[in-house]
Parts: sequence; C-alpha cells; structure tokens
Amino acid sequence: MAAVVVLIFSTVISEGVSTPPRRIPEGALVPEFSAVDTTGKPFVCRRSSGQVLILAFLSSEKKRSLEAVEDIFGALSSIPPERLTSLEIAFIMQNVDNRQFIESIQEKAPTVVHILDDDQYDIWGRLGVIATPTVLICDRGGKVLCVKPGHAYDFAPVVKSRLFQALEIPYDDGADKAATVRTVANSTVSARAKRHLQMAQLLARKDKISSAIEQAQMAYEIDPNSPKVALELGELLCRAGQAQKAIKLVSSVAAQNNRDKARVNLALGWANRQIGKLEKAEEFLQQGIGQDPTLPRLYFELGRIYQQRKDSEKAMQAYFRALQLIYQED
Amino acid sequence: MRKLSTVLLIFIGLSSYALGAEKPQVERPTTEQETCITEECHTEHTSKPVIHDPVSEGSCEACHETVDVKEHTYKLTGEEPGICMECHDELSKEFVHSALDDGTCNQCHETHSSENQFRLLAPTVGDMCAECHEVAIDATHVHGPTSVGECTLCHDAHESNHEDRLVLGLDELCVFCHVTTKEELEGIEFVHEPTQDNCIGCHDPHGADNWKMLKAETPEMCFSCHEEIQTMVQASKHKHNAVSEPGGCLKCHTPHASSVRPLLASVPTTLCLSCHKEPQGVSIDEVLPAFIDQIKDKKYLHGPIQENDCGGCHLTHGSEHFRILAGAYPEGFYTSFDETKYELCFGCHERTLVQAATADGLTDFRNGNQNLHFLHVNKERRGRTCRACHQTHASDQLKHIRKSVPYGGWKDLPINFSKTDTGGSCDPGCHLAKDYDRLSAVDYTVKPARRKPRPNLRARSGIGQISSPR
Repeated sequence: MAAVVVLIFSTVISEGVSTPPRRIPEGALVPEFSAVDTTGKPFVCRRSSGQVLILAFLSSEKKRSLEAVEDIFGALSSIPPERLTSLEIAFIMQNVDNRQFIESIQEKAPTVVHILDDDQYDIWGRLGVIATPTVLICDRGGKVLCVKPGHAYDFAPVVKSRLFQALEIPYDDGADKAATVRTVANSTVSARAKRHLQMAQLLARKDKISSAIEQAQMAYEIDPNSPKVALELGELLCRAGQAQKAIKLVSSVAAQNNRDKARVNLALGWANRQIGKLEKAEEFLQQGIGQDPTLPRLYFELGRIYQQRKDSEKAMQAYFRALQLIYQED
Repeated sequence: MRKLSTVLLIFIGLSSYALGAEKPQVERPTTEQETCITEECHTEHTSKPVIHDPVSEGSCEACHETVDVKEHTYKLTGEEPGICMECHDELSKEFVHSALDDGTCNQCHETHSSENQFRLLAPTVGDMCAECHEVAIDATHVHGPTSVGECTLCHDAHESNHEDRLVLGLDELCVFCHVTTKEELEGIEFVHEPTQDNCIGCHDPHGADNWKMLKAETPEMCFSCHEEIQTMVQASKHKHNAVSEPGGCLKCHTPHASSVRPLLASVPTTLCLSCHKEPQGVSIDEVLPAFIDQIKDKKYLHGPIQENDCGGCHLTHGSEHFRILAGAYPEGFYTSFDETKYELCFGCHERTLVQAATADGLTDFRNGNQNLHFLHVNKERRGRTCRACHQTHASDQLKHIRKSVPYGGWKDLPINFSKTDTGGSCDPGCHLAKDYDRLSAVDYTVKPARRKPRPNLRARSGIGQISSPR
C-alpha cells in the first residue's frame, strides 16, 4: 500500500495573467512544495536549493510512461556519477499501487528517485499537467528549462540535452539541435565520390593503376570541385605516365591549404619531369617543398631530376630525405 | 623421276607443317646444362610478358630436378602446393581457397609465364574467379569491385582469417570504402543493428537486381526480419497504404542510423506531410482531405501535433481502428459511455477525467469542483464524445475547443466558447448558454435568462435554418 503523502504548497504559478495557459511555461519559476515520498522520505521542491530538478508525471499503466522512464534513466546514466548528487528527481503518479512498476524504478534508477503519490492531482493541477508522461526540468535557480509532454520521437535527446544544460555539462547536441533528425546521408555527392576514391586508392596499392584511374575518374565526375579527388586522380595519371592529362587536370585545382597546394606542385613537377621539362619540374617541386616539406614524393621526384642531370650527390640527398620521411626518421 | 622427287619433298614439307614440326628438331642434350631456356629450347616458357621469377632467371632447378640426364628426364622437386610454398608463404590462416585445398595452384596460375597479371589463366581477376564462382555481373545493380572484376579488393585469393576469405572482418570491410557511412555512424545514436557489423544482412555484396543492391525490394526486405510489422501492415483492418507500396518502409525510415528512434528519416510531421499535404485516397470510396489545412496558421495545436508526433495517436503501420488510430475512439458525436471506447485518449490523459464526478487539480473544466468532462461524457445514453467540443488536431481557441461541430446534416453547429481566468462559458447549439467557474460555482438550478440570438451567418447567406439538436 502506498505511503500517505503530505503535500504542502507555498506558491501559486499564475499571477493574474489573462486566460493563462494551464501548463506551466518554460522560463517560469517552479512552484515550491514539499511532500513525503512513498518510502516516507521527505521531498522538497525549493527554488533556492541549488539542485537541478526533474519532475516526471507518469502513469504506471501507460506504455509511453514506461518508455519515458527508460529514456530518463538513459539520460541519467550518461551523467558523470559525481554530478548526480546535484539532482533532485521526483516521479509523480496517481497509481503507485503498481508495485512491479515501482520496484522496477527503484531497481533501475541510477540515483535516488522520489516517488510521490499525487492521487488527488494536487501537484498535477499546480503545474497544469494534462497528460502523461510530462517531464519538467528546472535549473539550479528553479527556472523551468523544459516542459516535455508525451513521448515523442525526440523525447530522449531533448531530455538529455536539457539535463546537461541544467547541470552545466558541455554537450555536443545543444537543446536546439536535439530535436533535429540526423541520419546517415551516404548517398550524397561527397559520399559517393569518397567511395570511388577509396576504391581507387586500394587499386593503386595493388598496382592496378588503370583500374584505379577509372575509379578516380568516376569520383572526379561526381565531385569535380573536390581538390582531394582531383589531386588523387592527377597523381594516378602521373603514375600511369599520362603527364599531359595530369598537368591539365591539376592546373585547375583550387587548392585551399598548403598540403593541397604542395600536392598540386608535386603533380605538376612529376608530370613535367616525365615530359622532359626538368627546370620547370624542379621549380614546381621546390615550391611544393616550401608549402609542405613532409611529402616524401616531392623529394623523390626531385631526386629523379638530379639523377637525370647526373648530379648523383644531390640525387642521393633527395632520395635519402624521401626515405627519412617514409620511415619517419629525422 | 624428278617430278616424283618434287612431289615427295612437297608432301614431307606439308606433313611436317601439319604436325607442328615447322622448326628444325633440336637434339635433347644428354649432359647437365646451365639453363633449360635457350634460343632453341623451351622458349615457350618465356614468350609471354608475365614470367615466373625463377623462369626469367633461368633457374629451372628451383622447381625441377633431374631424373636421368642422359634420357633428358626431369621431375618436380615436390608436389603442389608444397613446391610453391618453398618460396611463397605457407598457408596458415583459417579459411583457405578450396582450389588450394585440392593442392593445385595452377588452377588459377600459369606456372611459367602468362599474358596476364599474376600469371593468371584468365585476363582479369574477375574473369578468373568467374570460371568457378557465379557472381552477379549480370545484375542491374552491381557492386563497384564486382563490376570491374576486382574480387580481391574484398576477398583474399588464397587465405584469410575471415569467413569467405574476406580481407577484413565484416564490421571493417564495407566501411573501408564507405567512409562516409562510417564517419556519420560514429555521431548518430540509433544504429540499425545489421549496419553495425553485417551490411550483407540487407545488401548483396556482389550485386542484385534491386536498388542499392538490396537482397529484396522494400518492404519485403524489411519484413524478412520485422515480422511483427509485416503482420500489422498486412493483417490490420485499417491499412496505411504507403507502407505496403514498393519502397514503403523507406518513405519514413532511414535504413542505417538516425539520431531519433525508430530510425526515422526526418521529423515525423515532416514525413507525414510529405504525402498528407495533398488529399490522399484511403480507398476508391474515400479521399482524406489535405491534413496541412487542418493545422496551417492555427493558434493552438494538440499536444502530439505540437510535439511533431503524429505517431502519438496514429499507428503508422496499420491499425484495428479507423484512421489507423492507436486505440479505440468513437467515430460519432454521441456514444454511451464506456471507458474502453476512449482507449486512444487515455493513452495520455487520465481516465479519471471522465470517471470522477468531482475534481480539483485534474481539470480546469469544472464548476466549483464539479467535473464538467464527466458531466458531458459519462452518460449511458448520448454521452458526448471528445470531438463534440474539441478539434482533434488544431484550433484557434484555447483547449482546442471547436468554433463549431458537424451535427447530422448541420455542418456548423456553433459552440460559442469563451474563457475567463477562473472558468468560461458556452452558448452552443446543444443547450442553453451556460457559464462555469472554478472558484465561485454557478448555480445551475437557476434557469438562465435566454440570451439574445447571435447573428447567424448561414441565415444571412440565405441558407435555411436547421433545427437544433437540443
């Protein structure tokens, strides 16, 4: 049998507003009250307690209330344990005789949860609740941050984000973002281009350069604005000895960062070396080194130019630097 | 005689050509040679571009040993595949290509030289595999690696520790190329179970005749696991046509992951309105009006609508109740009260609302503590249903009170509700004007003064007055 609950209210919500909405609005101060929970422990709802407050109006007979409890506990379990002490939680119900439900709450609750028997709908009426589940989350000053009625698609993320907000815990999904729906968008242009690019890289690793070029070409056709795609294709064309095509392609790349700019110069240097324009090639490669001195291939190509010029010492130095970078040795 | 000799020479020449002996026969050496491949001997082993290393180096002894040099007879130094393993890594993994189980590398590879990379017997890896394996090359939707014959992007040709000799575990393999899927999955809370480690639960990894290489079209694909939904979709008395149409499930659900349950592709009302912004045919006899018209520009929305939760009241897969409602709800204006008829409303609202004759905090619709919901609804005969006063989806009045309600042939039976801080009043077509007040109860035993009739737009527009239901 449920314990007798004493409810003492000290504040009225509405203060003379014309035709106010029944339900307490977000931003209002929570009415103060005290009660005794079903285990005989006191529960005090006080604005100045410095505690974050969760008031959940539930029905033990309704599926949506049961689901809401699971989500509330899910949100609580994601809170660092030491922060749980900053929380006061009350589940307000009319049908506390459902022992199975009550015991399940007590068993699964990650922290203390007061169960209040509101069989006369006093707390219900003061907060203007009309349906279950309805969850209120108040900050440390007693301001209502969130009134979440029902158990809609966004119940879990909204409750979690508001709880984190109230506890001042940083959370990626702010309260505004929580209700938005994010899905895997793997059919986007970018996603499809990345798939072909990845496949091109795999094929290149297996020395299947012509197949790799085909895949990179597909990626390029899907996303011709991506420097990453164009550069990958450009380098593959160089590997295949298709210097003119590589030069034409990478010359139009709008590189945004030093790494990409260095890769543009690498492809131009590489391709120009292949067509015998050694001076021009060296110039591109030196520019590339200035932009990103960590690309081994820049030094390797430079080494090949020196080798073609019979400058063995410089060639050796360049090859050695390339190997150092590959094996990450300084 | 000379003629005969000429004919004989021609005959010998032709015979030699026909027997493939166009080259002059070289005598087999009967002593040890430095190599077997010379300009005259065994040239066929180096005539193709991809040559086995020992062959190209002339190191025939790597695989062959002499039996009798005088007879010029030789044999292999070992049996396949052991002989190959002398140089190539031994097979030590759990799953080995069955061709190697049989012990013959040359089911796929030429021993000495080939026109093809890896000295394969077929021009490409794909062609080679297709010699034994039936792959989906003729399917309308073919996986990239399959279509270009790069089977070894996913499968190791020889051995692997993963089933089907996959080069990686299923949880890593697909996302190796499908990087966007992987990146996005990491930030999304609700992930479809097969997506986590078993893409081939839904997709044929080689190819299929269905969009996205699905093993079957949706909804059949989804039903193969979600049998309970299938039952609901197919056996429900009231069906949601959109679900059973081709591609049905994917009209609302996203197959991989969503930040909200149950893998919804968007906010529920957005999904519903993608169809219900237009009138929708329920059957050949009935067309639902465009739902958007019911909520557009309305001041007050029913809770579930406000929460974008059409599923709060409607079972989107199918239902035993009209309008695919989630529970029983009377279709008419009147009904004898029975709480089982309001299963839908009691899913959120308290039964006590219409069970208790008196109430305080439970409802604002009371005169003193007399519960006026109970008064209207809880009647053995002609109990008013919720719709008698409330607009289900949205209204321009507080509490979703209707301006008017259809009643029999009367399409706009007025309600004339107004609200005060402590109560309100109605002057409906149903009864005389009545006030209610929570703090200072109105005495209903005193007969109210008949109010001055309000201007009747219908009368002014020339429509004949219809008798009141009171």
